[in-house]
Formats: sequence, C-alpha cells, structure tokens
Amino acid sequence: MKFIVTQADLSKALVKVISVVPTKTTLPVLGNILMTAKDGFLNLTATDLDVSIMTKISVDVKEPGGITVPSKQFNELVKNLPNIPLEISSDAQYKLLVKCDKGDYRLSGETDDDYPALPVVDEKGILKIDAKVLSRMIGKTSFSVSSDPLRPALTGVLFQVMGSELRLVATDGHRLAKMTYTKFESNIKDTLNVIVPTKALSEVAKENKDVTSINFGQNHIRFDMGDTQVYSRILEETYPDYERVIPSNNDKKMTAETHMLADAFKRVSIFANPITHQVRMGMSKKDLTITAEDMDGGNKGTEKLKVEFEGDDLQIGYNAHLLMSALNNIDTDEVQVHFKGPTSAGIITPSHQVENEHQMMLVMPVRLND
Amino acid sequence: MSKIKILPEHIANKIAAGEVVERPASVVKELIENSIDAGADEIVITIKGGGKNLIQIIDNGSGMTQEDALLCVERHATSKISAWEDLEHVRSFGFRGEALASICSVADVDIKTRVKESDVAALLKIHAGKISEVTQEAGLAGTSITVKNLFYNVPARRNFLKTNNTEFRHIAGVMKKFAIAYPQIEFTLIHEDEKIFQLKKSDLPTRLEKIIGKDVMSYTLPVDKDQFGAHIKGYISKPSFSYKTHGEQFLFLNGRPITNRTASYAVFSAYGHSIPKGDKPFFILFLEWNPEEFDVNVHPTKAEVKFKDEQLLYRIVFHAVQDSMVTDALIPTMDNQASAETATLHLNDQSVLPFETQRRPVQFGQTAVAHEMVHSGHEESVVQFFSADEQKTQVQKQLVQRQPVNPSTLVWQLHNRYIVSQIKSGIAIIDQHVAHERILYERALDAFDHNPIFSQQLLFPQTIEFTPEDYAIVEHILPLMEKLGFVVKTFGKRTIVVEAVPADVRLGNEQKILLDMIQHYKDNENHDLDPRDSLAKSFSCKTAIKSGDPLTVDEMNGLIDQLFACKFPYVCPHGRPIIIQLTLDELDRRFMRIT
Repeated sequence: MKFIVTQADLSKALVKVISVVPTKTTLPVLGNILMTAKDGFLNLTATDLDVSIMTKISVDVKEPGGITVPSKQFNELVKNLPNIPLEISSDAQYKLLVKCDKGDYRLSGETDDDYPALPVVDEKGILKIDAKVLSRMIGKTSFSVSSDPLRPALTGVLFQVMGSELRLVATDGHRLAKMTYTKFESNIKDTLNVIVPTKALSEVAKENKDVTSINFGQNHIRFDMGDTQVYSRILEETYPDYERVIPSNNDKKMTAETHMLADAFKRVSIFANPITHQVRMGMSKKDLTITAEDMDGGNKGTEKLKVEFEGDDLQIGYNAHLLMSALNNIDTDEVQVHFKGPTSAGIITPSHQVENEHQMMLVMPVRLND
Repeated sequence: MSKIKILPEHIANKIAAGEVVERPASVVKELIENSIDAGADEIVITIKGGGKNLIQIIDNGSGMTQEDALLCVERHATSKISAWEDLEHVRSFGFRGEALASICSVADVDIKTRVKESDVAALLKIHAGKISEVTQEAGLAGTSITVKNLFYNVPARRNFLKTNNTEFRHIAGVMKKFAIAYPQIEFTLIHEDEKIFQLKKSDLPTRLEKIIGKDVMSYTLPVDKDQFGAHIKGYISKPSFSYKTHGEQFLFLNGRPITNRTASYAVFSAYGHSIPKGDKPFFILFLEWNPEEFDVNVHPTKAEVKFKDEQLLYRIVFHAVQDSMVTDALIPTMDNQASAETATLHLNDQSVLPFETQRRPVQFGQTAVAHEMVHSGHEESVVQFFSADEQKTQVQKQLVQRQPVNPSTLVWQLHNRYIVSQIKSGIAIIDQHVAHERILYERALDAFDHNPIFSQQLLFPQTIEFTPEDYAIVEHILPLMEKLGFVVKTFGKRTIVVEAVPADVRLGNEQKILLDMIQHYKDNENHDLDPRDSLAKSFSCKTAIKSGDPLTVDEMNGLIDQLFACKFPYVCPHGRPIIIQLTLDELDRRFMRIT
C-alpha cells in the first residue's frame, strides 16, 4: 500500500473516526484504525463493534492495499505535522512508513485481515432528511436518555417513522423529550420503531451538511452522510408506550421569557438540596415564585418573576436540573409550560414551532409534602 | 535439726501484706472497700504525707461490735463468706479476710467502731499486728480506721515508696474509680489538713460530669444493653475523641473496678477503623453479671478477674458498644448541640481544656487549682484534680475535618469504590456505598418521624407482582414506604403499582430497588427491633450508590458534606466503618521521617 495525501485532509478524516475507537477493549485490534487505499480513495474505519464509522478521502494511490495502525499514535503524529503532502506506505511486515520533507516515521501496524468487517445493513427502509435537521433533532432529544444499564431501552433514542412523521423520543422515566419532523423522503410504508444508542447519534449529529440518508436494517442502522457512514447496532428492546403518558388535558399554561426563567432556576437551585435539586414553583395570575430550601443546610433561595399564567393557582415541585436541561433546549425567546396538577406531568414547548417541526418536553414533578 | 521451719505468724503476715499492701493507695483501696461493704454512704478520707504518715478512713457504715472488732484483725477473719460455695456468689468486695490483718502487720492501726445499737464505740490500738490496747469511748456510729507509720517495720518497702506527691496521686486514682462506681456515696478527701474535694451524693451523669468533666462527657454516647445474661451500661467516647493511653478506661464488674484486656479490646474493635491505630477510646462501662461467670479470687487485690468464657465477655462488650454507635440515631444524644464540628473547635481552644492542667507538674498544697476551687467554697468540678494523675494522657482531636480548599483538587475516586479526600491531619478514605447508606439510613429515620422524603413522579408507573407472602409484608410496611417517598397503589391481592419514588434516589430501576428492599427486609426482619429500623436499613442498603458506581466531583463533595451532617458519620447501619484515616504522622512514620 502506498499513497500520497495532504496532512490537512488526513487529519480531518482521522478526527471523524477517532472518537469511536474504544478506550478500553479486550480486543486489541479495536484500538487500531483500518486504512484501505484503492481506486483513488483512502478509507478510514474505526469500530467498537457496536458503533462503526467509515470515512473516505481522495488520495493519490500509488499501490492499493490495507493496514491497521494504533490510532492514538498515528493521530498524534498526523496532527502535529505541517500541512504538506505526506507519502504513506506499508511494507510486508506491516510497518507503516510516513515520509515528509524532513521526517521519516515508522509505526508498527497489523494486518487488515484481522479487523472486524463492517455490518451489512439489509435495507428494510430508507429515509432521507436534511443533515442539519437530523442533527438538531438528535441534540434536542438525546440529553434525556437514561444512563441506567438496567433499562437498556431507555439508554437510546427512539426513531419512529409514522406515515409522514419522523419522531425522535428520549426518556429516562422522569422526563421525556420528543421531536417531530415532517419534511423528508422515505420508502417506508408501515410504522417503524428503532432504538439507536446515543454513541452513534453523537457521531451523526456532528454532520450538518447536505442530506443524510438513514438505512434501517434488521439489526443495524446506517447513516450515510456523503463521504462518511455511521453504522450502529440497534437496541433490541421494547420501547415503553410513551404516548400514553403524555397528558393532553393540561389546562394551566404559563408563558415566560426562556432565559429569565432558566437563569432564575440556576440561581435558586444553588440553595436546593444537593441530591434532589428540588425547587418549588408557585404560580398565580401574574407571577411565579421559585423557592429552594435545603433543610439540612438551612439555606433558602427565592425569586419572584413576572409571567403570564392562565388557570387556577398552582404549587408544584420539580427537580431543577431536569427543568433547566429542558429550558436549555428551547430556542425561542418565550417558553410555554402546561400543567394540570401537582402530581402530573408538566409539558414544556417553545412559544412557536419551527416549520415542519414539533418540539415538546415533559417533566414529571416531585411531590410536595404539604 | 531440720532446715525447714514453719514461719512465725507475724513474718507470714508481713509476707502476705506484701501482696495486698503495696503502697498507701492499696491501703486506701482495701479500707474503702470495707466501708462500702459495710453499707456506708459517707466516707471521709484523710491523708498525710502521701499516706506514709497517716491514712484515716471514717465511714457511717454498720460498724462492728467490740467482739467482731477483736476478730477482724486476725487473718482470714471475714463476715462476708462462711462456706466455700459462697465464693461463687460473692458480690461484696472483700471475702479473703486478709486486708486488715495485712495492714495491721505493717503499720500502727487504730480502729474505732460503733454499731448503731451500742452506746459506746470500741477503740482498738494495734501495734506490730498485735492488739495492744482495747478501750471504750464515745463515738459516732460507723467505723474509723487510722493507719499510721505505714511500713515502719518493712524498711525495704518503705524505701520503695515514691514522693509524697506520687503516692498521693495513686490514692486519688483509687478514689476516682470508687467515686465513679458509687455516685450514691459521698466521698470527701482531705490532704495535709486541706479539704481537696467533697463529692455529694448524686446520680451517675452528675457524678461523671464532676469527675470526667462536662466537656468530655458531651462527646460520649450512652451504652445500655441486656444480652447474654449480662447487663452493660455506661458511656463510650464518640470516635472523634480518643486518648493515647489506657488512662481513661473504666470497667466495673458488679461495682468492682477491674482491668481486663479482652474488654478493652472489644471496645476498640467495636469502633471498627473509625479511630486511628494506637488511640484508645475512652469508656466507662458497668457490667452486671452473674458472679458464677467469673472468679475474682485470682489476685489478692482483685484488680484482675478471671472469666469462665472470655469470648462471651468479648461479645457482650463488643455488641453493646457497637449497638450504641450504630443505633445512635435512634437514641437521643446526650447533647444535641455538641455537634462534632463544634467539638473540635472547642477542643482546639486549649484554654478551656481541663486536661491542660496535666502538663504542669502538680504540686498539691502549693499551686493546684483544686485548692482554689475548694477554698472558694464550691463543689463544682474536681476534673482538674482528678486529671492530675494522668500525666501521660493526651486528648486527641481526631475529628475528620474538611478543609475549605478548592474541592475539585482534593477529592478523587479510587476504583469507583472509595472516595479519597485530604483532611487536616492527613487523608481520609471513605467507602462510598456505606457512606451513602449511613446518609440514607438517617434520612429514612428522619422521614418516618419528621420530614417525609419527597417523591419523584414516574412517567411510566411500574407494576410489581408479589407472592402472597411477600404481599403481606408489603401491606404491613406500606405506610412507612410512603414516608420514604414510594407512592404505591395496591391492586387485588398481589399487585402494586409504583407511581412515584424517593427523589433522593438516583434515577434507576425502581422496580428492582423495591423488590430488593422487600427481600432484604424479609431476610433481616428482626422482631425485637422497631420495623422502622429494619426498613430504614433495607432502604439505605438497597438505594445507596453501589461500589463500582462512578461519581462526579460534585457528587462526591455532596456525599461527603451530607455524611458529615449525619449524626454518626463513622459507622454504617450494619456496623462497618465508613471512614479510614491515614494521618500525616503515620505517613511520616512509614517514610521514616520520624521514628
């Protein structure tokens, strides 16, 4: 294998794949990056067996071939070279040679035969969507996933295709985030539910150019984004029936400035119990009082904000962290929160939705003992 | 002529006296014991020349008739036992009938005694072990024994005696033990014609405050337990407070002060690793036990006792002390205001430290503060006097104190299991699971009585099915579960739906936690204990973060802060230690900076 590539191109491609390389693994070859040169392209691949990523750049291929090399060392070297053409080759002993005007670097690699093959995705359905939109949908849902390995279904984001709607849903059992989008091309006829691990999605979310094509397979999903493909195993779990728990009759509505509200929670929650982060919201026609009190420490913080509130006065308790992470994902200047009672879910939405999109978040309250 | 001869009685007595009467303090001990056995509740001790010149003990006990008095100076004359079998049940101090005979053989002794029924007192003068004079004169009911010229006829022994001050300190040490064991008896001590102290009759806590000091007592936990046929009560120091020497450990067996390594070790072990190696916890323990379980007839001074089953003794002491620490949250503390934090500050301020006096060479009659105190006419506290005899004792301030430095650099997690933190005296290693367990345990108890735990509503209510047997348990503890923050609805005879979980608990598998809790409760249900205690233990054990859970710096700091806000942050509800300290001293020793 022998090819010539500019440092900038190679470095950019390496950064794309390197985050998938597992830090700890029982299979040493997974610490390597696979390089394959062929037909004027260099393919770079990294995998942790669950998530794989492959990206290609055009290079001047002198001799086709492949090799795997330790990802960390190789990346460090390339990153620190000047932006000049590099001549990269491998010998029969799987030594990688990197030559540039001043330097000569030799790195021990391994045969590409031992590197795990990328999964084959039997295409049950394809969906094409604006990459920027997909990235935004992932960003506004994946923060709500659970980290509890005992409930694997909740550790991923649900991709749901229903007729003209693509829904992304994430929940940890105490809050839920849902994004719906209606402008995409798809050949999917039936309803389709797939749970995708967040690690793959964080790679997908990095892409925001052109169109991403999502290939749904039996056990895997593949995101095609131009020169880069992200493969991921699907979580074969049953997602809980989330629609059933989203209340539709929340009759009390609070409208407030998003930043003002988020900042107030940030300040008041400093005085909340450090574990529960519990804050109390008291709402009446014109204002909202936020209170946090730590019984153990004897600290207390209160703020009174001007808000619009429709409905009967309400006292409700919340984990401030859950509220703040929801508010941080609201892009509009104003936010609406819909309540029913002190023990039912509150629904948070932007004051107006982006075209073709619908965003909602749901946070379960904490019972106030009074 | 045969070489072997039977020794004349006066020589034999002198030899025996060597065992019983070692120094003036031994005389005081034997005579106070006699007074207590005689039912006295006022005892006045007068000392001159460190006891070398004069020891006088006046009590208001039952006294003796002249007939008895004549006999009592003979060896093996005793009123306390009459048959061998009695030895097994002995509850009085004396029974050997040796003490007075021994004392009489090495000193000039006057015995003046009167029983209530008699009009006159008998006065016996004894010289060289022989009654030299018997007269009758007026006197109060009770007995007064005057010992003069101790060891006048045993020059070797007399030469071995230390300075008057040292001998007097030994006498004070003896009196301290009796004063603790018998708060219902008034003790007065007069030395060189000055009244050193007068301890009025009182209850134990009041007496201890006077002798040990209010400050010290506020850092103790009460012990009170009945088990294995023994009753044990008293006080132990909180782990934050321990001594470098054995000086402040008192063990009383049926009212008799004894020393016993097994018992001391049991107390130390019960603290787990919450006190640094080499430190000794302070304790005052009263053990009431059937006399058949031990033999006091091992040593003439009876300071050491032989137990039939030392293992059993260990268990009795260990469990009593551990229980007192573990269930401390259920027991009202002696002084709720004296939080551990203030305790340290307080102790740091040496001006208020009663033990400070000990560093000064104490010259009674010249500088001792005790004198001023007595002269001022108050009976407030004799701590300073008593502490004088513990010259080597040093108070240790072993409280784990957090330093207000940038916390992110000062805590880190070891193998997702331990939290390591820098403290003032070195480093502290905290077991994250048991630390959280302690926090949740105390939180649960608080939830039952005062502040129920807030409930985080669940988005997806969890349905759990139980066996009928388990369901009965669930129903039984349901009201308590609700206080813990579990909002549960019952369906039919076997099913519950969990709608909300405690907000304190990490987001996780509520169903599993609940099932584990019920199982743990079932396995560990102790019918002798309050179900609240069992449930609190199950709750804390199952909902606490586990060993292996990664924690963020904030979480670790939160955990440490909460731990130190606990009433008892040193031992987990099951008795395992929570914090281990590695002091700079120890590190210095290991690196051979100091030897």
